[in-house]
Amino acid sequence: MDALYIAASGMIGQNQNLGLIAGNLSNSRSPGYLQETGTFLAFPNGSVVENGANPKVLGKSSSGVAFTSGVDMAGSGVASTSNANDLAILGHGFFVVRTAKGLAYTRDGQFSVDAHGNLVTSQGDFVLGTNGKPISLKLGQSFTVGPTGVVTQGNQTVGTLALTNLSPRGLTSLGNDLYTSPARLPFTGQVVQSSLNSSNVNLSHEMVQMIDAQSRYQSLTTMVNEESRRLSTAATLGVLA
Amino acid sequence: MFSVLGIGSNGLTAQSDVLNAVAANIANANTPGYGRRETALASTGNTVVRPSGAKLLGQTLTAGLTLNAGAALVGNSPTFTNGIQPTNTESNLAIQGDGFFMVSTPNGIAFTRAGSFEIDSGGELVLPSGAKLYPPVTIPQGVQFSIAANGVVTIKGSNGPQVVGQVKLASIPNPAGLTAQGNNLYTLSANSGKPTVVKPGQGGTGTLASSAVNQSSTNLAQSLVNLVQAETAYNVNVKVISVDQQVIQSTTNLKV
Repeated sequence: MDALYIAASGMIGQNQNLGLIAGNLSNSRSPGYLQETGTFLAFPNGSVVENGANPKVLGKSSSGVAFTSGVDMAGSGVASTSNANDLAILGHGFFVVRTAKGLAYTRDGQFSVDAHGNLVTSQGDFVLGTNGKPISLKLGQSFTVGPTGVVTQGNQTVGTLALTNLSPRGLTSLGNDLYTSPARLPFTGQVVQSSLNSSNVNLSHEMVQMIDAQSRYQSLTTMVNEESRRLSTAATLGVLA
Repeated sequence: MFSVLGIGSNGLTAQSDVLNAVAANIANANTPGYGRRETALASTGNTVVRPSGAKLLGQTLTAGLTLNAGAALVGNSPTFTNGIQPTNTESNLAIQGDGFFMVSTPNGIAFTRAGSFEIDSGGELVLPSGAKLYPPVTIPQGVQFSIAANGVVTIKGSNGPQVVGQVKLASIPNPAGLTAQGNNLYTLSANSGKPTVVKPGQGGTGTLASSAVNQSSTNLAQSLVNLVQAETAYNVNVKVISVDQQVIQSTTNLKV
């Protein structure tokens, strides 16, 4: 019976892997998206588990596998657009935004100016300045952003974008292209106007990963079928597996 | 079980929305006053499958498992530019700035940057769609007229020049927040802000140019690049669905 549980834990893991890869592929054109990376961990025992708020063990085996996810901080390209509201970060770094749930960090610079003159993200979250307040612009006037994040309208400085690097340790994805991390690091990148960070999903690599996960999953189903056949043979012979 | 098919279908929907916007932009590359659709894609909210630090049979899994449900379209707003092109019709008007014309439609006032005005049988300035300029300007048939940069409409009367009307423009705080109504007409939304009605040239609206119209803001080269990219991304999501279909097939073939 052990082999069935081991194979089942592998199938659950590969299915989660496929979900992660599909999420990355789906976001291959989402500006500022950081791809999720999956890791398989050998799990000494208790491998078939029910996930969720209260994880519990459904079946035990001598060995198994668990699938975990993390965020890939690999740099992404900067693609120019013809929209002056689009901002990109050349190199590492994040914009600081205020959402309904608190502070978050993003590399998705698809900004716009709302009806009150605040610079907002495509989700409507406020883009913050170094003073911790939303960047407020005079309506109907174009603005320019310098490499260090200084926002000017005409000859007047109206604010400075809050920019930060984040420690890869503990960096977690909040969804909607937003990230959070327990530790801030000094900003080393450069802001580029009329450009967007592309998604850092490597399309060809993820396609290969998807085919890989698919064939591993199918190998495991073959294994389950083999084990099932072996068990029924053993049962006809009156031998306990 | 996490739905890979659902992720693939979210991706297809998002990319097909992008393709629709790109197609509309390309189709309107020569439509005067057209505001190109700028789409914004972003990843969806996350599902925490297993929180980090989960304990199972005395073993701790430090890294958790978080999956997103693919991509979604989060923005699709019009973007206007200021290029103008000459025409042979004197009643055509171009705005050399960021303002909008106001026209009256059966559903109320609408805003547009398509100044292809013509003079109808009653002498009023109307768009080809039949929407009348607001506030209305009437020019008697067959009379020589001129529309100045500040919007003053003058006709050549028997006793010298005679002022018959004033074209006004609306300054909209956030044009990207306007709602498209088709026919190149837009209406206000909470996101666009309240318009200020001024004479052309005031409040950043820009002065008028007669015998000219505003160009479409579509950048054809950029649109074609977007088209190819959206098509590739669409195909990638199709592949995701076909792979998951095979995975489901092998699951249903399990013999237990």
